[in-house]
Amino acid sequence: MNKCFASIVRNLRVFLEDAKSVNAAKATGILEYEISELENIFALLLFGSFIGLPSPPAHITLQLMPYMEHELSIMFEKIQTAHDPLGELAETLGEF
Amino acid sequence: MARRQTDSAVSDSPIRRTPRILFFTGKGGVGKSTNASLFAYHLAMSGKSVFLDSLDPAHNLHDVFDKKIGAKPKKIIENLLVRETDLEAWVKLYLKQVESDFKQIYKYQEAFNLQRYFKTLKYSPGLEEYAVLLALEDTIGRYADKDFIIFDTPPTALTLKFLSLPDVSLLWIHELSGFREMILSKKEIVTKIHTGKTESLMETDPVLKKINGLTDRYGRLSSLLKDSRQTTIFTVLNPTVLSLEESRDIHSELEKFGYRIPYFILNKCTPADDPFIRRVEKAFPDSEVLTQVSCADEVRGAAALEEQVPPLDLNRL
Repeated sequence: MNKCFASIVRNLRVFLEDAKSVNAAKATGILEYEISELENIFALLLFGSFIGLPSPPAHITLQLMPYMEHELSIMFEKIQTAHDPLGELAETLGEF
Repeated sequence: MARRQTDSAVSDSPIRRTPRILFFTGKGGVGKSTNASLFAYHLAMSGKSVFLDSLDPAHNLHDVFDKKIGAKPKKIIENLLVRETDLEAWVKLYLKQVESDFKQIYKYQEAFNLQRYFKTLKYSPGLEEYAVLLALEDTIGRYADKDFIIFDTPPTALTLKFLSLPDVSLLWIHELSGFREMILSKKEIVTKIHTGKTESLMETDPVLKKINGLTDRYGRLSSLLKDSRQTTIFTVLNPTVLSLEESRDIHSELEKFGYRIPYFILNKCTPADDPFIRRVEKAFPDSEVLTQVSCADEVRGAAALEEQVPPLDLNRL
């Protein structure tokens, strides 16, 4: 009887841990998508002059640019998917 | 020399101890260079060590001193060094340094095709005033052992831009800093969920570090330039309506950014200009109007500078 109870508890614990992992993945997936959008906006804030947006003084952009490889990559990726933003969003949400 | 200039261009702040700083502003042709030279010459004669720097792309100091002066400081008399800063060289040095940082850090720069971007950057609006600011910072840092550093400024538009640049930069940097912190706080949450560990990205993120470095640098520069115990701005004008109007513009624009102009020098005055003196005094009631009597001849060369008396008791500086 005790063995059976212990097995149920163990299985329940595994189930709850798995459920927690799934929920964590769902939560970070959306958050990571939001972060990449924010990083894209941050890059656009600095490099807005490329697309006609007001930009900070050029010297600020130039001084930060050497450290922004990651953000620039995201910005260029977003340019690739710019023609289909809804598709991109659906792809992210569809994972859940 | 060139390498040393580049190093200070990218350091977060080359400014340490600061001597007394004087700026001579005003409309073109009113006598900024002459008055800057006059103050520099007489301060040096009184035993103070002085560095006089022209930040005007069209330099005049060589005409006033009647000597060849260039980007390398030249000793005119004991205690007086004079330089005519090459602003174009500063832009080139700065861009070269950014490009070199960029090449060291970026792995995929060829894919971004940003090399072409660098070639056109030198024509980017705003780099000229930044070059003036870099030259100014470098001079203040490099000649910190002097008693006085005197700047003969460029035309009004450029002067207003470079004097407001630290504050304008701080406004942008403040916004960027807030935005960056928001991104990092979200990244910290993701890291914690994935790894279960708390990682402080605010202390390690290179972009935020650079932003904080810029905040310190421009904050210090802005405070230094606005501190009336350290920095004095003179505006030179002539008894003409146009130069008075431009002086009003300088006064109101600088006031917006927290600068105060304690002295207006009414240059090339004659006794017949008394009513105009009253007009200038009325226009700037919180400042002192100094009058400089017109000379029969142009002030040119050391002998002429020695004869002319500065319009302010130098002990008051």
